[in-house]
Amino acid sequence: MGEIAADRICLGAMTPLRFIPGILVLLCCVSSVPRLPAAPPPGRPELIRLPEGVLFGAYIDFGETEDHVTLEAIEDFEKLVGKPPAIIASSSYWGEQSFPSRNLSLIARHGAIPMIYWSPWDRPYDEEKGPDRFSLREILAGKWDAYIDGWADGAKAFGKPFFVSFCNEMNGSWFPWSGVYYGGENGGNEVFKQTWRYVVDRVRARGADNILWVFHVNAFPAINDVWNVMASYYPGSGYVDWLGLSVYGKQFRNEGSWALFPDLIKWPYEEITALDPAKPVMLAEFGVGDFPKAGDKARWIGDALAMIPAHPRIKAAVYWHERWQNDDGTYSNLRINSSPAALEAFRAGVARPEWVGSKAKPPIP
Amino acid sequence: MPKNNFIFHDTRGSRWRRFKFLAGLGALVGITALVLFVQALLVSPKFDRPNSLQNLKKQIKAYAKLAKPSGQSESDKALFKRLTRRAPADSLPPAPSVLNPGIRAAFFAGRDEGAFRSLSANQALLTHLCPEWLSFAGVEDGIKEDEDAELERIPVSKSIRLMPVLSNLSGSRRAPEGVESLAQSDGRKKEEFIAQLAARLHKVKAAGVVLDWEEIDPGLSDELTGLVISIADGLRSRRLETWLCVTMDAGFGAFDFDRMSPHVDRFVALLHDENGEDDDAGPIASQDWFDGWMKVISRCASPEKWIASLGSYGCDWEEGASTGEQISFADVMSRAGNSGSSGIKTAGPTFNGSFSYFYEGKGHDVWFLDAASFANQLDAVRDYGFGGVAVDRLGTEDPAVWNIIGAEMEGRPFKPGPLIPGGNEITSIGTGEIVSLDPTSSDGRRTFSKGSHGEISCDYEILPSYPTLFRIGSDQDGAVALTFDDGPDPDWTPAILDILKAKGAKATFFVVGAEAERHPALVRRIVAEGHEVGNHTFTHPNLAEAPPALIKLELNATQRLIESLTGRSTTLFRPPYNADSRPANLRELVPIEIAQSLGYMTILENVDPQDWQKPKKDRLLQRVKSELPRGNIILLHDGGGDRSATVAALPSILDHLKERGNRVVLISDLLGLDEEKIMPPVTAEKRSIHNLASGVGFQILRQFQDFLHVFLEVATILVLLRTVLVLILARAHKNPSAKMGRVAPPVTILVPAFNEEKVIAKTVRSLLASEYAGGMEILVINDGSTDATADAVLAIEDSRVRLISQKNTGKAHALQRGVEESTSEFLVFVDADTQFESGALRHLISACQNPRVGAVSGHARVGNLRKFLARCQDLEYVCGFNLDRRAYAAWNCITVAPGAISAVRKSAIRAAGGFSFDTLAEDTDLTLSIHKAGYRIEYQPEAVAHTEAPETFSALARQRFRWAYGTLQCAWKHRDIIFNPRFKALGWFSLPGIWFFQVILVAFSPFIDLLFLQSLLFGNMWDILPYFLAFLLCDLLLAVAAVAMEGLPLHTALRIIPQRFVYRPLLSYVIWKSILHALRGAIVGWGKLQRTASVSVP
Repeated sequence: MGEIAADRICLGAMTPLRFIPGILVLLCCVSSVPRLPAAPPPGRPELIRLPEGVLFGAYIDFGETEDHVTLEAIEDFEKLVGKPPAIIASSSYWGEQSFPSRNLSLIARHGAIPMIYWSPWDRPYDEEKGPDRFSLREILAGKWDAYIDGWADGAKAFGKPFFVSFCNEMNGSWFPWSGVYYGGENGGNEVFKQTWRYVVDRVRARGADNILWVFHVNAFPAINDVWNVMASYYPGSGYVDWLGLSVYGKQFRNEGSWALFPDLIKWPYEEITALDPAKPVMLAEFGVGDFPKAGDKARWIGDALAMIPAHPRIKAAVYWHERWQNDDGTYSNLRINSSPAALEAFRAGVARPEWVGSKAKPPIP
Repeated sequence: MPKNNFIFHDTRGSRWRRFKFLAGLGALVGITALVLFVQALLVSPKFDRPNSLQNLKKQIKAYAKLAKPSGQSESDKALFKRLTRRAPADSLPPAPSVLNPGIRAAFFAGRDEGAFRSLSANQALLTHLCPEWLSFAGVEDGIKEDEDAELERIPVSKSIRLMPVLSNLSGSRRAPEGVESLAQSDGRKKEEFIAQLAARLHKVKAAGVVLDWEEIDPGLSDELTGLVISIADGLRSRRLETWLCVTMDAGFGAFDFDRMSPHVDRFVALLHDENGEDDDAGPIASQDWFDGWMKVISRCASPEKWIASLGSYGCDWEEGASTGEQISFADVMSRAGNSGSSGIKTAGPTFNGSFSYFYEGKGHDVWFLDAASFANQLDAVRDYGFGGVAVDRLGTEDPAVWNIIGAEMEGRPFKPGPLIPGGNEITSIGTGEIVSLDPTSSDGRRTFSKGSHGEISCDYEILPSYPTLFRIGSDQDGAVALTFDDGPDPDWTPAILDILKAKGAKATFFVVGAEAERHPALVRRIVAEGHEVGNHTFTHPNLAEAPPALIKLELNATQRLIESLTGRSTTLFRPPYNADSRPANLRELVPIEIAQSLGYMTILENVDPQDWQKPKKDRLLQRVKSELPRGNIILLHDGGGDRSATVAALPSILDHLKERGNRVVLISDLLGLDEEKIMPPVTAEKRSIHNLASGVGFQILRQFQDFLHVFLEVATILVLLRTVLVLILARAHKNPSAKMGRVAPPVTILVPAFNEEKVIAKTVRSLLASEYAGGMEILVINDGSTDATADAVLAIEDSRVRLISQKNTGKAHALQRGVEESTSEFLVFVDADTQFESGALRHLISACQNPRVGAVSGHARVGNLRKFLARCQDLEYVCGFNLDRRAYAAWNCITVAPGAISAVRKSAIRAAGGFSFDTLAEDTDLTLSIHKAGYRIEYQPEAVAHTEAPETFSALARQRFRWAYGTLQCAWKHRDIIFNPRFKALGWFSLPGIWFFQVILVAFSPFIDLLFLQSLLFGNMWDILPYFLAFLLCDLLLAVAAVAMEGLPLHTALRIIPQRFVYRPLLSYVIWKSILHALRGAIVGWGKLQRTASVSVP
């Protein structure tokens, strides 16, 4: 996402083995946590009929604020990939103080399901800087009620179903809504859960029942502790329609060794599916940089596109198609066409019938 | 001689006086109307231009704002620190005192019109030219040439070496993947690339290439350095140079300069993107930043390897916009001057200029470089011992940089002048394609001053001004305007309107007056369906080459027409040919200026899919798609040619716009105004005499054209019908003598003669030589000849010949006398110049045997075929006798048994009341009278006589005038026959035929010719040509048939073609002359006009 600092996360260093203690602790916690308050307003997972395979989704380099959605960008991407995405993702930053109705209509008219990363932060959108005027506490204090209500009204007016990933990757340390900024082990995750419920309740109360709420975590927590595992942030089944994961391979040149896709998906999949026995799972973001000396991007993509459909609970996956410059001047190129081999692997992988595209007209090459 | 009953004769001349009076009155009214009409077109219509748009210039204001603190930013400092660490801090090399002889290069983009002007003015100072030409965005796509580069327009000068730029741009964005992949690929791929590049360079006789590869991942430094080395080696072996552009940012680290230095010929340091279009507002190359980078560069490779690329342009950041706009120095000055900004200077610490302004309610920050910053930077470049400089880019620079470069070449100090020339460049303010022009320009003044360390600053005292376009109407919330030019057109406009209606979209139609005038209903429909109409001139000329008076006329005529058709004025104007959003030269501004002075807003366009090239539907849509991101006024065409491609693609274009999230709106919506303001109604109080005059004028013009068209259609149908009928009837005609057998009653031959001494004897001898069994008497009636006619007759010693001499009284009287003196029932009329074939008399008389036959026409041929004119007449005679007369005989409606050769019963003449003396065509007159007496008139094709045709135009004209006038007289005298059921075909076919085919059609033919000529000139020749061809085809068909019957070679018929063009004007002339004479009421004699005493001719 955007201009991510080089030292954001060192996935390569986090072998799955290091997670085992965390998972164990988590399992204990889940059993001991008291039941959630009774009868929360139900979600509407039935808004989208679940496909036989996996819905193919993409975020397509929509600019610095991730919301400059254009038909040209979408069509160019479709030309590149050969299959029109069923989900097209973009962001709605709270700093813009608007509801992206034009983006949603454009995507829906194009035949795809919109997905919005709804992120409470302010300009400049720099990571690692901590909470700003949109801090979770301010939200809970009701300071942004009007904005939330207006946003909900926009969603209701749009009318068609769409995904909302609110406060994604809260188990990381780069975004200002992460638990780490709200006391960490001293209830950081609780503040998050309260905020989630507060916001979802408010939006639902305005009648916006066309939203599919995606509980979207990073595959691996930035800080490996009980309070920071997925389950600690889970606001309850009544508040979530889909479970989401960010699964990234190597993104930075100085990040450490190459990680293969099978190693990246195994534990997180098990961990997130344990949150709820039935809810569909999506890779709310996935992607990998292109560093031929470190590893083979084409193979990573080939593995991912072959393996994702083999996970029965995964019903959608959104590829993060972006190239950005880091502070040290180097680039991270997650685009599917970072090299001819990567593009070829992507085209071939996504062409499999298990990958479900939109019914949009096939692009004219 | 009683002449007061001569047909059309008017003794008192009162008809002529009446006619003159009426004609005078008519002319007066006509001329007044014409004057009013022309005046209506010359006097510019008054309509209200929306107030808010009357002076866009007022919308720009200065805006005092604290400039962003400048100097090296923290991140730059870190960067310098890191980059200077990479090489040992050597001491500076000894600095040469001058740059000369160095490289003096310039970057060049063909899309900048100013680049060509700058190049031609300054090429003597340049050693290298670097045009933007090639791009490499992906390994699969290979190297692409920019079609807009216009390399061929670059003046070839042997002293300047061409170094085209190879970028990694894809459209306006960098696509680094191609270069990165290539850098990481194997040697074979690289070799292919190098071979391809070298071929392109050799093709344009380039000296080498400038690699401008930006946003490459510095993480690939090794691979990238390796790639550049391979390219440089490969090109060097092909005698081509390699220059490498280096950006002054983190990308600097992407290259290992020391490794590349032995291979690469030059490194070009792009020392002017401290704050680029994608950054926030800030200096473009502040002095600190510049010095910092110079220090970094000086540690990489040797200084003479480096060329410093210096800018002297500006960048304009609008608040809230995602990117800034790179602008030329002239634009900078124009924006500063128009906004009234003051105190502008380039001084320390940045030595960059800046100011802020408001336009259209939005704040703008401008930063710029000028000659002062250039001079300061050049000082550093010289101090560091660089190998040269490059101006980035031609056409955007402060013109004084050339003085600096010139001074540098000659090794003298730079002595800057205070003058900043205004004028030649066209500048613009704002975005959008709705423009308002300020055509004025003036020079500016500035002072350069030198600081204690030699640093130069510049104070702008008077800002220069340039012809400036104030732009508005750019994309607001996805609003896009569809515009259609060159219509209306009956084929395409309705189809387009239907599509727009079905899709619920509104558009703006820039109509061409001449087309609107032709299809008024379409213009009304356009307006009735809620679309807007704009003025696209009357005849679609290139206004950049038209004189101002014509431009006004073009605009006024179209405006008047729109007003008369729709009751509304239009305030919208689009110039033909030059609607492109960037006027290339001052000439293109003239129409905009004139239109503006008349109250129009000029609507340009920036999405032009060139639909007139008739691309395939998908291709047209693709072009719209690719241009849409940079504009919001789309140009399509609904007229001026085959627009099937536009019609085919329009639905998908509208669908695409909808899918894209665009609203398709009217120009008025783009301006945020009511449609009423854009197309104000012509209210009653505003309805001036000019409106009335132009309205009525267009009406009359239109009706006259409509009339001519209908007339043409009717005439064509009648001519076709007549042709078919004549062919059928001519075939049906049977030789009249066959039935009657060979009887030879006594015959009297009458030969009237007036001064015929040369031919009379020959004529009489040919008659005497006739093979005729019966008795024959030849009466030569000498009508008072003044020559030796009588002697010539008397010299013939034959008892059958008798000479009767009388005073000159005219042919009819001579014939009457002959009839009186004749002894036979059967009379034969012969002209004194006509030679009978030996069997002619026999055939003629045998056809006359039937007592119901009153007269028989013989077959006259032209005897003197020496001249072309005579041969043409021969063909005319062949057609007239073989076809027309046969056909007419078949229906008994021959209108003339010609005086040249015909036989008549004396009893028929008596029954017809004898000869009358009131027409010039006594033969026609007599024939019609015999018809009235109930006799048949026959035709005997076997009775051939050869007559003498006029051999000069004047003689022919005289003869034809006599015939035409006589025919007119007879047609008038016997008008009771017309449509009289008693006379059957004579009343229904041949006499109306005379009126229509010989009088009306011939009289109108010059107008049709004019219409045809006009249609040729204005390109709609298919309007008239089919009729023209139909006429010609009929003539040719008849001629072929007639020639075949006569037994002449078929190619003779081709003479009909020149004959058309010689005869028609002549015939029209004599018909008009006849009509005029008839109106005048004068008596017309055989050769000359005899005037009545009562009429004075003006």
